[in-house]
Amino acid sequence: MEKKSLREVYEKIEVPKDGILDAIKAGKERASQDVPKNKMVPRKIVWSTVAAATIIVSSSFISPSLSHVMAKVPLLGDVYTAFNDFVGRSLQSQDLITELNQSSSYKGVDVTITNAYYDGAVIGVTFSVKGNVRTEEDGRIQGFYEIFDGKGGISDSKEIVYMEPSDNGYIGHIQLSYPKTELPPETSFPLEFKMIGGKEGSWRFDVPINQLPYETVHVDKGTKDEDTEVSVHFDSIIEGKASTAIDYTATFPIEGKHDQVRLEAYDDQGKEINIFMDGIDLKTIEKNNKIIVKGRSIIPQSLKGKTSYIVVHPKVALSSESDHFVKLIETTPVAINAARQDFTVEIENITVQDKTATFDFQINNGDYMNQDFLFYSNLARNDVILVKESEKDIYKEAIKHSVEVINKDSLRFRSTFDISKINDFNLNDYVIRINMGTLSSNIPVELEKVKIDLN
Amino acid sequence: MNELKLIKKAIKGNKECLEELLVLYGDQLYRTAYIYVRNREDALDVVQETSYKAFLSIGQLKNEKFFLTWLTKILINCSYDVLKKRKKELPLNNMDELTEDKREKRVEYLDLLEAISRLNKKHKNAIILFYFHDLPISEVAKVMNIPENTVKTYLSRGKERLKKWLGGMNNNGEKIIARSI
Repeated sequence: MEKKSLREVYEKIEVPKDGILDAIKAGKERASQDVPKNKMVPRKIVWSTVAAATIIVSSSFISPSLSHVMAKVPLLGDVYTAFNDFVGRSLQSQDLITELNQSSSYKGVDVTITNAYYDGAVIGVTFSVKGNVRTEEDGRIQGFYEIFDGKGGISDSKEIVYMEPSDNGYIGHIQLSYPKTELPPETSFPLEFKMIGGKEGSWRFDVPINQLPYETVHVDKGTKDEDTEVSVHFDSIIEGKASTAIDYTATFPIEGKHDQVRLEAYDDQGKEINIFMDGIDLKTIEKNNKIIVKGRSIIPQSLKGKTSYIVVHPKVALSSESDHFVKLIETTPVAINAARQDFTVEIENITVQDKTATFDFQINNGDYMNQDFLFYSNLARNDVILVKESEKDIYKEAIKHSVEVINKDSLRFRSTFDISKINDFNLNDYVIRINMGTLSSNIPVELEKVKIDLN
Repeated sequence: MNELKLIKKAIKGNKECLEELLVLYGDQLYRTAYIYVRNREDALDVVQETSYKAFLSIGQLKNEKFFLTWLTKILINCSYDVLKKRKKELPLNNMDELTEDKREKRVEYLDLLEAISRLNKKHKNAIILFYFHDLPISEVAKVMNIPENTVKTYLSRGKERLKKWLGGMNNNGEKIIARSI
């Protein structure tokens, strides 16, 4: 029996496309009404807000450890492999890791910093934990730490970290980028654990780090988008032994305070180079009615000898889009335009009957802008919503409604809201709220690519 | 965005990414569910239930490489839940009648599927995962929680059964397809 023939039979099973999409959506909606059972809920209330905030910011730190539950119990020496730290792994193979032995004890829990590296702008630290600690269900223990005394302005300065069981206690790993523009060759950074395995306390270290030799390529090339007044200027490339940092200065208009730079990089063969820490904000200043951000992105490998230049493609996700409102009594069609980008939602028709309020609308004049239909159907469902004017800024659960696709190619939809349950519905009390935030965060402004020579 | 990126984002809690992934695998989810439950409505129910559970528990997925394996496991469990429920709802003799009715209307290429759905649970799971989901033996073993060699045994036993039921099949497989498609 051949695999291919069996596959053919499988492929022949007819698929109800719409039914499947509906089923997935229904599953998603049901799930959003239930609270996930094993969401991380720290025991102590004091921690919960900080921890909740950190879970979001810290995702890049947590994910390396998440990806290895399948790995075997790591030995101390394998720690960079166990935690999937490419930079650490590469440095280890080049024998460039500094061994350390600093300990701190509190309430019967001993923490020892075992080694560290400082390559270009990337810092890695490994440590071991011994003592009586509470483990999670999967055998790991959870810790919470602060770097640079948790100072504001340093992104990711407070994190949750998971430690893996080892043959003699637990081992853990922290990786971060040096949070300042200037990289001091010899320094130390304050690291304090504030909770380990359910115990609150203070395990403080001043971790000495010496920067490995690196080279700087001065760049001075930039790119600008005239319409949105967003520009990205590349300042330098820091070529470390196992990492490459791209330093840039981005300029946004004053309303773009939270605009976000995302870089894509390609080598001289046109192949994409993975950037693993993107949009690190080192410093933000306001000057001449502009926001100037010193930023950095890090590639977890040395590019020396691998490519003679890189092509960097900057994209900026704009942030300042506020909600738009259309009154039900307004004469249609009404076109709503985004403030800084070419997005439109045109309300073509509004019909209010006894039990339903229906409006037809078109998104972006039918221009898909490289997004798929699903993106727009979600937008139609979630971001063009009937709300009570007095509650227009409150994000409550939407009034029950259905969305019909009038024309897929031209992105025309019809939303019908069930107003039968609303007592004394009055046309003047309700507005259509149009939120273009999803558009601006998913369709960034693409700037011209910049070629940077590395030699 | 490539799949691995989507999975990573989904694990971190991005619902849109998970939805995109489910849509991406929608056909496969439906088809597999269909093999288990054998009708459109129940298969769609299984897809819904699987999506629901995926949204609730995506945070538990430890390694993004195993997304599909993980999802398939949920799907299979949901399929069996539906089958269990159906057994409770329908008296046994009724069900026999139903299947009898359906069998007559069934188009020919479904013969093989019908045979697969009659296999015992273990053999069926192994065959579906290996042949239809294209999972390597090692991952089939992971989904089913059994050693790799056992997977191989189930596969060969399952295939033997199928050949027997489909009547006088030889090993080249052409015959089945020639007749059934």
